[in-house]
Amino acid sequence: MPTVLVVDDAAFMRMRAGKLLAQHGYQVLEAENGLDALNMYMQHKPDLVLMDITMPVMDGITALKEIRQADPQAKVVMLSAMGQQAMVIESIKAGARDFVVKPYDPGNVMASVRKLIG
Amino acid sequence: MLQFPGMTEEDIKVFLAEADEQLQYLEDGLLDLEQNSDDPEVIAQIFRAAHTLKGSSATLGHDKMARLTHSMESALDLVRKSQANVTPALMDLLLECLDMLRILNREIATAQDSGADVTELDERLLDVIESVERQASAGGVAGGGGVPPMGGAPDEAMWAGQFTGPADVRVWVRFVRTCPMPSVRAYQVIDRLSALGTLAYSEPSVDQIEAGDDVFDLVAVVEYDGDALEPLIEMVRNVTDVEDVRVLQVSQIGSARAAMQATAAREAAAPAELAAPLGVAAGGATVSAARGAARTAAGPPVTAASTTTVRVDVARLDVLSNLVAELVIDRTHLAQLESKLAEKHGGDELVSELNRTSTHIGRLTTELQEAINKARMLPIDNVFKRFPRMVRDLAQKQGKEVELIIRGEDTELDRSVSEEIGDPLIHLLRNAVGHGIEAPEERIRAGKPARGVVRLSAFRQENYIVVQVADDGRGIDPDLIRASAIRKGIVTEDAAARMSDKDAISLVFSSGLSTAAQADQVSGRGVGMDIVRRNLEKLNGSISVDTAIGRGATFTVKLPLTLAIIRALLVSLGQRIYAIPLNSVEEITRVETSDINTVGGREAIRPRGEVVPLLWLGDVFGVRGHDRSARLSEPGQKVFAVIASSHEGKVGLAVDRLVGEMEIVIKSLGTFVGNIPGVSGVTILGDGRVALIVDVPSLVRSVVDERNAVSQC
Repeated sequence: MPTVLVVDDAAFMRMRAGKLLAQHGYQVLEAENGLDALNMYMQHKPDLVLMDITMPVMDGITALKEIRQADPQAKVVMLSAMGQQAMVIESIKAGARDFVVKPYDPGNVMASVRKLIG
Repeated sequence: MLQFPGMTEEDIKVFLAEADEQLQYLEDGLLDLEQNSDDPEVIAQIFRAAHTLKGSSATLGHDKMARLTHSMESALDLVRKSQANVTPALMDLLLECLDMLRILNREIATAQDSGADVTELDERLLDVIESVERQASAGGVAGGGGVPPMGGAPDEAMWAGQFTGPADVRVWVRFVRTCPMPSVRAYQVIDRLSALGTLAYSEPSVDQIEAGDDVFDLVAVVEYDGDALEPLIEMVRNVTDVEDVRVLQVSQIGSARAAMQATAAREAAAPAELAAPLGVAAGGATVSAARGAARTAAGPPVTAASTTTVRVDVARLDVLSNLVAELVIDRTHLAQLESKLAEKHGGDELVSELNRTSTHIGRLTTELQEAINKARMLPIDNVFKRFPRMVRDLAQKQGKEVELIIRGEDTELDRSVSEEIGDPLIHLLRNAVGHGIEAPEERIRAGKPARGVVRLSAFRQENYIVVQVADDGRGIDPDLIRASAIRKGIVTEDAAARMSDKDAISLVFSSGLSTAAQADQVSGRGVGMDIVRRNLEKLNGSISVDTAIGRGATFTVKLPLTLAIIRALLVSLGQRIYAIPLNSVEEITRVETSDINTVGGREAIRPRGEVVPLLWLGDVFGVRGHDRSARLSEPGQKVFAVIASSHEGKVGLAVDRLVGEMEIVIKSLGTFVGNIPGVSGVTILGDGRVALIVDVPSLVRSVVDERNAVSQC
């Protein structure tokens, strides 16, 4: 069962994404900021990371870079809000594999997840 | 009725809990911003809060909140990038938005549309944003012009199958029209193409793409090293929201680059007469994804939360508290039984074993009680956090300058207490700003800084939480209070003249007194303090004031850490047991009936020379055989008098016997029985008997009222 790490400082968003992924048979891990995500990633080596961008403690882009540095194969999909183009581009540059714009359509999230980890 | 399709009750609960938190961050941040308008950390905090609210509310499906937070975020982003200044007007606007967000949040909580409209606020925010952008473009900061529309691929296309090796490849990509952030999708395509070869050229340019220009059609030329086009097509098509991909070989590597650039403009203008598509529309993938989404869960979700905290419903904690409270009662009973047994069968091995066990259980119960109490503790910050905004608004409304300093916000107190302490503190703060702090001119005339200071501090003192509201304002003038009290008929002129300054000042807690020249909207008519005092006393708390004219006033509120359990003195009238809260017991004396005098038509005793009115508890509660006449009919009878006090004074309560001191669990009388004068609640004793809890403040008040009535005759 593939594991997906959902990173978002909003518990509500984590819960929405977590439920969706669980419904589709993925195992879900959660982290509420970039630093948590980094630690969780090292510990559990999830197959995919869904990463919010704007977060306290450590933002998603920094976390993405850290994770990619530790594991160049890491698959990270950014969760972005409208108006964050520049940051999403920066994350693509930093190795993010895809992005989903919030408020996201469950179909889009799953399509993105499936594309990367089947 | 508001509905959020696809959201469960649980979803909405989580949303609301979090929204409350974010709104608070927003409020704290905004107030902070007003003070330190250039602190990037504060700005980042506010921005994040607006951003988080936007994402969550949009997902929840509350459009008004999503719209408003989106505009707030945009405006805050300008502040963050130092393109907009934090003006008082912008602050007010943002605070108004915050108020609106609270209304919207309540809409979600109650599932009722409030009818509130965000349009006006939204437009004002957009005005701010537009004016900043206008200035920016006037100053030449704004980005370049639009992108020329891209038609399609040129017609001298070549089938992928005919591809013959490394060559310059032209890639044409069209994105789904509804796709969010097409520029990022375009960037993704560029990124992938760059991984396969060297990007020679693109339209729009990478710079334009990065600048965020909308791109729905992208043309790129890559020096491609692969020997088949399929992998390249596959890779591009795999980018989300790609609707169509077409690829053709232009020429051998490197030769076409200059030519491409030259023809770019022409191609851009060319109509979309497209060659046979090599790519397949991405629609197929979308359909299968949607089908997949409809599939039900394959197994239970495994969620590893990153925090070690658990949210527990307060009702569950209450159940636990009640169970522990019952245990406390039984512990007391067990100790009583054990001491009786020891009296009867002292030295018996079984008795000493029982003694050990009951001691152990007693200790465990105490620990359990402490642990549960701790679990119910919340930092008082939960109460304090709404005050900075309140004080700011009050001060602004009244043209005063007030700085609120908060200390001890991490002091913990029982949830039940924190629910009760808020209202009294609001009253005190309103008074401090409304009556205490003077207008800036008046302060300057008095040689004080124009800006007044209100200090709100909390700390623990044994089993009490103490909260102080101190201002450096004009203080309370005892003579003004005397005059006002006489005018209102609260005391006689004589009584007022005899009163010490301290007693006069404590008249602010009596009903119907106000010293403000006029009743105002903000602090009301001064009925507040009376209610504050009554409410605090109901909770076995107290309030006192310390003041000096011209230097300010400090109100001190004291409340037990928990409202459920108090220490009490148990007294008896025959078989009946009464509990007197220990915090109101001053002393206990034995008086001879001959020591009882009549002062002003009321019986009184004189412990330590002070005249204290005497109340017979048997008369108060109508216990026949144990009332005054019964007791006095026995000659030479000694009487126990419990001297109990409230802020209004003291009263001696004559009782038959003292039973002891113990922790009792307060149970309310319930609505069925209702309010009984002199009784604040009941408790169940270790042996199962019910004891009434004596309401000392109301007894003292009855005596005081009587005295005032007499002296006014």
